[in-house]
Amino acid sequence: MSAPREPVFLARETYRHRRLRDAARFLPFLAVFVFFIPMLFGPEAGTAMTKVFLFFAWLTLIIVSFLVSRRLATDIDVQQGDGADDGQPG
Amino acid sequence: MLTFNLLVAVCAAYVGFLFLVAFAAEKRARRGRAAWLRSPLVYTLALSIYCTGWTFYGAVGYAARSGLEFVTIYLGPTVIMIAWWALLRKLVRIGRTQRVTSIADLVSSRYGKSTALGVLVTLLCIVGTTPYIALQLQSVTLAFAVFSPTEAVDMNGTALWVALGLALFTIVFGTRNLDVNERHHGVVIAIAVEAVVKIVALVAVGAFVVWSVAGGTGDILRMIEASPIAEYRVQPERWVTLTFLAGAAFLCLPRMFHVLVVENSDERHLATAAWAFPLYLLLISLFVIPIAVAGLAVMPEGANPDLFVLTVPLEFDREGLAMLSFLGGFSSATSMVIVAAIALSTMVSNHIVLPIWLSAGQGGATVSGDVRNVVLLARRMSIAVVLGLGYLYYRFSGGGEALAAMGLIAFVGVAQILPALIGGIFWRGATRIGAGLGVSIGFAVWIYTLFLPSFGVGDVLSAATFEAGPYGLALLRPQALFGLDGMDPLVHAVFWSLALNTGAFVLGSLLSFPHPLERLQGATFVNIYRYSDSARGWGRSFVEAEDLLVMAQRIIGPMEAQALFVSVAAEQGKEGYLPDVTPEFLERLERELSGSVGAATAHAMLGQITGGVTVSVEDLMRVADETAQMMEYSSQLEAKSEELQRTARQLREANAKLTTLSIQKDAFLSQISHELRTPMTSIRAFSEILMDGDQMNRADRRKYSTIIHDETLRLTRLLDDLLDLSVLENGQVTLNEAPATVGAVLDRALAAIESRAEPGSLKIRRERAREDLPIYTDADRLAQVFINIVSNAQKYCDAEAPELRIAVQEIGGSVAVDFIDNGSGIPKASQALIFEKFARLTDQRAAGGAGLGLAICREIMLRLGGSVDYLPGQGGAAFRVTLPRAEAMAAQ
Repeated sequence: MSAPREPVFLARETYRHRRLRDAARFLPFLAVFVFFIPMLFGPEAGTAMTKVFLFFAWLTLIIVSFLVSRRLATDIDVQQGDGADDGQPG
Repeated sequence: MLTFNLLVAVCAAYVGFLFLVAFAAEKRARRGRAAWLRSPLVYTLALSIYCTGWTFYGAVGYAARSGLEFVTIYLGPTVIMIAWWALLRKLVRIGRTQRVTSIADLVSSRYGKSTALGVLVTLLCIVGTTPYIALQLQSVTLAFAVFSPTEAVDMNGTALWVALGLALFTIVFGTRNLDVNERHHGVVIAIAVEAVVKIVALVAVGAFVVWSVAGGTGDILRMIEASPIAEYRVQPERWVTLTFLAGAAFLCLPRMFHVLVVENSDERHLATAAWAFPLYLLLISLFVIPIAVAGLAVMPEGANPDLFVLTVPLEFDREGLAMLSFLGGFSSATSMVIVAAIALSTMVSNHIVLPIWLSAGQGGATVSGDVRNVVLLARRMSIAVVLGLGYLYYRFSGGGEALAAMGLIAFVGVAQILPALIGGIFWRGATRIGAGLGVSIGFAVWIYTLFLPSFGVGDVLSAATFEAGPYGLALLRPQALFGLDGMDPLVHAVFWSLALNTGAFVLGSLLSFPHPLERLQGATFVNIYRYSDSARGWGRSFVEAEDLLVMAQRIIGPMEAQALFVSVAAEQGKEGYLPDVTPEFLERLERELSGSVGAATAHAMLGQITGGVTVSVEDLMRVADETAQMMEYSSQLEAKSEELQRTARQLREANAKLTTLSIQKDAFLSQISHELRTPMTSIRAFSEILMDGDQMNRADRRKYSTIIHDETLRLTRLLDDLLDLSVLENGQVTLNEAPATVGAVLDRALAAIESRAEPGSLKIRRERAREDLPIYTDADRLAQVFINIVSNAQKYCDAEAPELRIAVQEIGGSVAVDFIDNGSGIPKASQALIFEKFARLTDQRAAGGAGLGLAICREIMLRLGGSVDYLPGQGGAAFRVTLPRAEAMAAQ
């Protein structure tokens, strides 16, 4: 039988997952915010610099999205319950 | 040197390869080994049909003209993909549970399976997509032309051949079967392959430009700053508008919706696409600026920047690279056309052809014949028509600069679906009227402010209309609607079309009233995670399962239909092919059918057979306001717990009663044996004396035998009483009810008492004037009660001059007869006991009763519909006998 500490751990895990979903909901707003920043650049900001900024921000968002989505995908497993055709790592 | 013929050969080989890939995928899928065909990677690659020929060639041209602005076209979809958890997941879930076949189907299904809305959205999509297809044909023909600068290429002929080839591919793999899920493995794999080709091609050209032409990243950045592109500055209103527009188009374009929602086989694929597709977009756009910069630097003045992707490698004699680039552009164009044609043909066949065919009476749902052939034929025709329209548009628009702007114009057109789509899945209050108004107004404004002006001044709209508005109405100038002058035409059109669209949608929804099916669908869509089992739209109907089977066979095929019916029957616990026609079954059948012919048509066909829809009250209750739901739920809980409490209380009471009864029974038994034993003892004793006493004198013998006789009488009386009581308690007594008066019964009772009691011992006072009340009762039984009470008074009244007052009165609808003596009465603690069996307060054996009298009285009165109670506070012992009045009885 497991130690009595386990329920605490589980609750913590659930809490983290909930916040992860919140993060997934916030992420598009962050993306919009970041993508609209070039509008604030003054006339001295060149195309090359704007481009470097945009692509850097874009890549960062992709990485964050990867980190968040990868863990959220397991949430769908639980809710959906019909993905029996392809095995997943335990 | 690449010749035109070599190009055609390579192209044909590539197309042949795609045919093979698609064919192999279909074959694998049929054998049930489609797992890897449906991996997240394939899904992500299939999404890349967002990047069409317009992207492949046009993005560089766009960048050469307006610098970084082109990137907004890819930022919008990035935002949407990142919003997968809150937005796309819901769309995909709705798409799967409701068997949505297209964006028109989703809108139609959400708003009460409305055929009109389906038609409207389909038309909008056709108008928005046709020029887009023309644009693809143009890009391919232009690319062909690049490789044959000397030969005069028949541009129209090339476009025609491309259109024909695409139609063939689409018909072969897009309408191979009427899939219940509307998924096309072959097509998806082919476009995934094409997605790889186009990104490899574009990245290869980009890498060539950066590391071969420019000499490294630092150099290319310096080149960018030095080129005319560097003059570009972000224009905020266009930046915001274009980002928004691209995001909206990503959701609403028929082909995007098809891949995103209809072809999705697993929600988890979204989690991968959420980062992989933005990465794809990033890679696609990463080298656009460098290629544009290099093209502007090395190509001669006046070269078409839209073709830099091809012409820059050719300029450096990199023919292999140019060939790869050509295939990339070819892939971009063809994959878009194929999926767009599939999506549009599904919409046209499900929302335009089938409804017309149904209402024309051809397809009365009960007529035999395979509907599938009609559907497939409709789809094939639609594909041909859609591609034909694209070709004609290309021919007659002349393939000029006007066409290049078509991409964004199409975006604005399909974005008109956005309010109805987003409103439909997040707002329950959105109605059919609102959606219809919004889409049509947005559609009209788009046509007027953007689509028609795109043909150029003086073509469709006259120069005077542009300058002064139609008929001189300055407020209605197409590019300065309501006097909003000086805006960028695109921003102007987006602003007005979507503002008016959304306004009409919201206002129309607020002011109209949805019909029940609409409300049901609305609640189901908005709360899709809660009602994943889908709401029911069918009531119980008296349709034969056989008729349904006949119809289902015609739409989804005999094998599939029979399998479905057998499995439903098995779930219901029946054998054979015909399940009971339950609302659940009808709902499931409709969903299966709508996977083939769309929600509205499936609904209409089932409606023809079952004689219409009935939305049950429970269904509506179920989707009533959330607060109402919560309240209903909590009140149900409350009611349940109250019921539980009540039951527990009843159980406790019953238990207490049972315990008491058990105790009473024990007491009764011991009482009985006691009561029986006492007389028995004396009878035995005296009879023994008699037996032995031979010399007993006559007087003694007489005395003893009298005692024996008395005791026997006592025993008999006791047994009589017991018998009487048991008869009464079991309700076996038969009453001889007849009209009488209280006075008469009292007379009878008192006469009986006087005959056996010593006269004068108890004085009885009556008020004869008030005793003349009619009653309807068993006079014998009532007299028995009276006798009992009066003789009790005789026995127990301890006053020196015992006196009994009998008062008769009417209380409410009943008659009360009070017997009040002037004794010391009964102590309060004993008042509840006296009606119990064997309850005797004093041990006055002489009274000769067994203590059953009042118990019998109570039973009798119960049978007579009245009661006998102790009446406290009357100065002595007082009993009230209550009887129903004669009228009251008669009235019953």
